[in-house]
Amino acid sequence: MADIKAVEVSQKKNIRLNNTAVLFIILVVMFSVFSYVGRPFFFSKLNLIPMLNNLSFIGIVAAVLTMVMVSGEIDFSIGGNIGLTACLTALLLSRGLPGWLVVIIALAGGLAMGAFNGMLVTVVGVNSILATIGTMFIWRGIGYTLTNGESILAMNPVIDYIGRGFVFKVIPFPIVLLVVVFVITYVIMNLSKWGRSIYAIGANPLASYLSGINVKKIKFINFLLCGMTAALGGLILTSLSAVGMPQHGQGLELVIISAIILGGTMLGGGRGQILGTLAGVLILSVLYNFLTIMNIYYFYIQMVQGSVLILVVSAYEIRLAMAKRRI
Amino acid sequence: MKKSLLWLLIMLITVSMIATFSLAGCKKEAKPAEEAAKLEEELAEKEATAKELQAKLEEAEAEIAAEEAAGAYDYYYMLKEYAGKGEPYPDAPAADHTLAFTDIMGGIPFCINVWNSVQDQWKLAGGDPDKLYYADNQYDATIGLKNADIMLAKNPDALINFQFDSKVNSIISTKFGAAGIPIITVDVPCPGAPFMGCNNFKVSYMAGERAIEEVEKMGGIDKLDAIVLIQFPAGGEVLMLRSEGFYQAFVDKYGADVIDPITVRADGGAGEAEQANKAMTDILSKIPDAEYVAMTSINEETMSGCLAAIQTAGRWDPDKWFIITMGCDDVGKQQIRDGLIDGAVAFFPERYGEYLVPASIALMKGDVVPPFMYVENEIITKDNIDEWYPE
Repeated sequence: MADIKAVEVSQKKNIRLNNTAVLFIILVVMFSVFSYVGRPFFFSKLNLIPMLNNLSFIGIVAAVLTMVMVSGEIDFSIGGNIGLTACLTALLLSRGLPGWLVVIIALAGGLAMGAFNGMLVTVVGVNSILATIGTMFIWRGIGYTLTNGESILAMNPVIDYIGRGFVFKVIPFPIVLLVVVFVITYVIMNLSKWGRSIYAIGANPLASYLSGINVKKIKFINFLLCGMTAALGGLILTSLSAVGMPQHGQGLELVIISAIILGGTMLGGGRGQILGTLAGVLILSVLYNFLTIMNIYYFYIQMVQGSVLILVVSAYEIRLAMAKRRI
Repeated sequence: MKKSLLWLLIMLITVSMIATFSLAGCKKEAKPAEEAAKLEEELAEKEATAKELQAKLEEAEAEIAAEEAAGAYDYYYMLKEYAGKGEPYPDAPAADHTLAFTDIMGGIPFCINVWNSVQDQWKLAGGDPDKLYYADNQYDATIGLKNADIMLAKNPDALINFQFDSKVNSIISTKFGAAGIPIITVDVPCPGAPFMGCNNFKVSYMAGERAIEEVEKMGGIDKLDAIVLIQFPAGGEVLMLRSEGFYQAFVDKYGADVIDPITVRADGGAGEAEQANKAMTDILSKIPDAEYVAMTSINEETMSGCLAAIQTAGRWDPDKWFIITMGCDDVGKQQIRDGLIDGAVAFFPERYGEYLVPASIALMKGDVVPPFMYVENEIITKDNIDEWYPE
């Protein structure tokens, strides 16, 4: 019996790997076609660097949210967290606090928001969908209260560098942050005991608990990290726009979750790949960028993005069903 | 041990969160006298700023007049004349040029009209439709920034920027300035860029004056129970003027001591009837005895939701509600014809292109344009609607 299960798990792992590879192949094909059709604008430094810059905060949050989702939970409050962090950052800067201190406070605020979500889910036992929808409104509400609904200028050398700075005068800093976060989350999810525990918890929390995994602790830490990276996303967005406003991040939770699901992460947990998430984020961003370059109206862009999501997720399910049939 | 450490961490984080929010947002409890003094101080400061702004505006107007007299804007005015007549511009000045337009929120009647008029004028100017780039900012600063970057990559000869937050515009302005691409901003100020659109305070003040006429006909301010302003704070300070001018007209006429106690403000959203409906329902329960009400909102889509709420509550009486809206788009025209509103200040979005395209071409050619290009406004009522918009 145990052998059969092991075969199933290994089979599923193969499917995951294949799905991620397929996504990257799709991405390469899309990129090539778009470069040709969208010439001379699409494949240019002037377009690609800002595109990567603009997707950096989405990617950073998506990477850590993948960990939360693989463990079987979800965090809808990331958009609210981004908005509140942006407001807090701008407000504290306007009060004359030094940039480095503001960054620390903003990240601590993100940790606090993550901790609050984690507590609600792991200690109080509230379903993570409900808990984080609730906190999403709370964070955004606090943002509106702090700023009176107005945008506040956020200009400071430290904050400016986070979203608009360059490493060695060549590589945009947000892209460096994106790569660092993806490398760390990849190592955690694929090469550490913690990552294996996350997959186990997502697949079967009860069995994980019985086998000695501290389920609550791992979920709590995931929420904590998710809160902090959302705050980092908020800092990048504040820097990119030079403004803190409560509307920042509005609707981003859906974009980010769509990218993660597109990358192969299952809503119920237990399945998902960090590289898949990266591919999901890149596919959605490249698609938006190309369609906008081609003067396509936003409604059609939304329709295309929605259709791609449904197509890819349907393809996953079909492939999984076929693989099960083969076993 | 681990558990207690975890709890300690949670406590620490929660305390730091509360401390942070307190530091940033909470105000000290002030004694009434202190509060009054502070208010007076703030008021004086605001008055000084307003005077300063007024002086600057007058200075700018004088400068514009001087430049106009010197013929600095002749090329722009020449093109505008053709645009106004709907005739092809001489020498097809837009041929071989590219123009980018980032729309504040495609899909709402006002923006559709603006975009259509830009396209029409671009054709009249001899521009290639494929060289007129478009992106929809979806009333979202994040998308607005993304679109600005994409437009920058397309390297247009000029950008018409219609983006909702003036402060975010500063980044857009910096990026395009560095690339040497001129910008014309629509309705929302953008540093260093000529402004085209409506003077939000002026149009709202006009609406207020029109409502006052109705109030006077009805028997004076004593009979008025409430002034309702359906606003959209998230739209920023400039958009707030679109309703605050209405209030100011009443204050100028009757004094703040009379107007403040009967004024109610609510967030009706950017143009979603549902949110406005909910806001209005809440207002109606706040003013249960109000019969005579003067009201305005930022646009007609918002007013649709409000009207539905008033009717649902059974409190609709066209003789007792004095409603002036902003924009006079297709929804507004219908509301006027149906007798649901007393009037609308028309922004003539279908004529925005007559200003924007000539100005863009003038800038592409290295000419100068006036720093402020205000669209002419009219109050459209049931009496004159057929004159402006024949059916």
